[in-house]
Amino acid sequence: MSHLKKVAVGAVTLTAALALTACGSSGSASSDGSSGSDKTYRIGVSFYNQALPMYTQMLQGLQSEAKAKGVKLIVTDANNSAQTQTNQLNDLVTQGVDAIIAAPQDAQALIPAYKSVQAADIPIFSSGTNIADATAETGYVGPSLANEATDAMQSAITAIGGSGDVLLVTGPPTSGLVIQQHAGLKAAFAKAPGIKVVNTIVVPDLSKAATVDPVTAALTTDPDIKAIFASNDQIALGIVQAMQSLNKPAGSIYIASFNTPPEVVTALKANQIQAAVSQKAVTWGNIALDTVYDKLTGTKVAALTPTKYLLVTSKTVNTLTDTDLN
Amino acid sequence: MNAATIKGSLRGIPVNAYALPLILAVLLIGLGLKSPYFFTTRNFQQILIQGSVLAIVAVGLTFVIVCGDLDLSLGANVAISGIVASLGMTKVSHSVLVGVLLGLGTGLLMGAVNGILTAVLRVPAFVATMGTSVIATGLALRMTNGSAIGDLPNSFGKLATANFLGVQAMVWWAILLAVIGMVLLHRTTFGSRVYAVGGNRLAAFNAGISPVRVRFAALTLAGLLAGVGGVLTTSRVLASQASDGMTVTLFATAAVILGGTKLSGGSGNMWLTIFGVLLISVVQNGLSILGAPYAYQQVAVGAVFVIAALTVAIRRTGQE
Repeated sequence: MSHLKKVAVGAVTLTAALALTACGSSGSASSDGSSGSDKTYRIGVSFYNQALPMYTQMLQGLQSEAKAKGVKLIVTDANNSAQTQTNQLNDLVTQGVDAIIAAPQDAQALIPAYKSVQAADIPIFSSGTNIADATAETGYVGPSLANEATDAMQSAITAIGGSGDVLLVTGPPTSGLVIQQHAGLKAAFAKAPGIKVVNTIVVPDLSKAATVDPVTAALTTDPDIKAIFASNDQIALGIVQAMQSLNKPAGSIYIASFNTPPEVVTALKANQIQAAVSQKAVTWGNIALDTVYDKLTGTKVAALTPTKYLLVTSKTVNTLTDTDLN
Repeated sequence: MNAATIKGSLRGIPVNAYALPLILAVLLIGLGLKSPYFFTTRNFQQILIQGSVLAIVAVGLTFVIVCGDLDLSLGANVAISGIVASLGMTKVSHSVLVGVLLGLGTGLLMGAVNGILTAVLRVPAFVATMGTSVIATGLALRMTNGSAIGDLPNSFGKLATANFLGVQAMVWWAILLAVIGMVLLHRTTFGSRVYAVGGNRLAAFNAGISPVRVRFAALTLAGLLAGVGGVLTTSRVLASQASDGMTVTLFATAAVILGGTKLSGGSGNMWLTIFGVLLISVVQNGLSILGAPYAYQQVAVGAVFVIAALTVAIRRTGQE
């Protein structure tokens, strides 16, 4: 093959790959609205990990509301990397979006990126998690994670009789999610002097796979653990698997967690998980889009827009419908 | 000028010397036509910023690969160097300089350990650097407990984000280090020795060159530059975490191979490595600008790798 042909093959292959990728993106990452005001607003959505079921459901809510309002969404996923999310936020600014909804990967590391968005005069709302510098965000729209964590832990404390060993399994301590959850847990523990937190396990990527081994080790080391708090659904499911590997019967340890994707609902019905906070993520997505749209159309919005939540237990789960949970 | 004349005039020039710039030009034009936001000053600044750390790491890796070795620990090195720098200026002292020096020292040390394992103790580079990568990642997780280390001094942020002639400092650092790398590889005795050792270690040894010293130096240099990458990565966002640099090894290797450096060693060009970096940065930026979801971006990453491998295969076929 001549040099010219080799160059042509390389150029065509790469360009074709990019073109295919770009074509794929037109249907998947962006959604054009079909109705609404004269101007079609373009809103960037920056997830730190779109694979988390909470954000998958939230995106459904964002998309349905965007379609209703004639808004175009540009969705990015940082795959759990603050550096990637920083780049993506800057790229959204480059694209001239009208506003951004972001779930920051880290409360500290994303501050400079938020400030660069602010410097471009683009409103940026945190959602689900937020950053440590509230002045760098236009507002927060999402669940009150601290209150939810208090309620979830309180249900565990009540169930185990107000005293006993408790294990915490959380995401990274500096993520906005965990900072707020810890604040809520602290409030619950303040009312329960008999509770002893024997260990705190950190699962950096909040995944089920990374949860099983350290929790199995913790339950082996401390067989008296009566309750476990899990930062999210995947961690809770990892805890269930760890208990199964140790042949601990369902219900022998009270598991309180966050989010209610179908697997968690099934686990609640089987009494493998005893309590889970439903973020009502689809509704949350609707509200987030509405809030940002209001901001763009000149309606005053509050700095904090809390979304509703519901504590689902293994006793109440059978009485609830999908609508209740979404 | 007809096609035959062009073919004649290109004969003897390595295919990558004109293929890469041409592919890059095609991409730039294609992306410019596809997105109105691509050909903007701000976007080109972003491309340069986003490719800076990759360029710095790829410069170091070029020395290693030309030498006939590999370094799979560069991403982990970027992460742990940034973390040590952060701890250095928050826990060890309150001095930015101390933090930066500790971060650079960590990169250098990790490179030297790779050099000792590979060049002195003759552990294959693939195995040695994979091992040190896992160790560094584990240590990084231990030091950070899985979270980010933040609250770093604003003055540290200037190291990467200060503006000079409308371009951020980290881009200037990348340009400076790339130029130094080019001079070192193409215009010094050390560079000649790197080529000689990578081309034929026995012949180099018989010519009075110590392959052990040259390989050690190349791996240590790569470690130091990864340390620079870690410090700048941290400076940019004023925080560091164990997941920083997780794609750096992959992309730096792809950039070097795209630049025409043979994995077997003995040949390579620093200038073309930088073109490889630019190509990857433009692909990443382009996909982001076009709104490609993460899954499709993975597809493109795979495509870049396949093209890198294809380039090597085509060259080998041509030589045969």
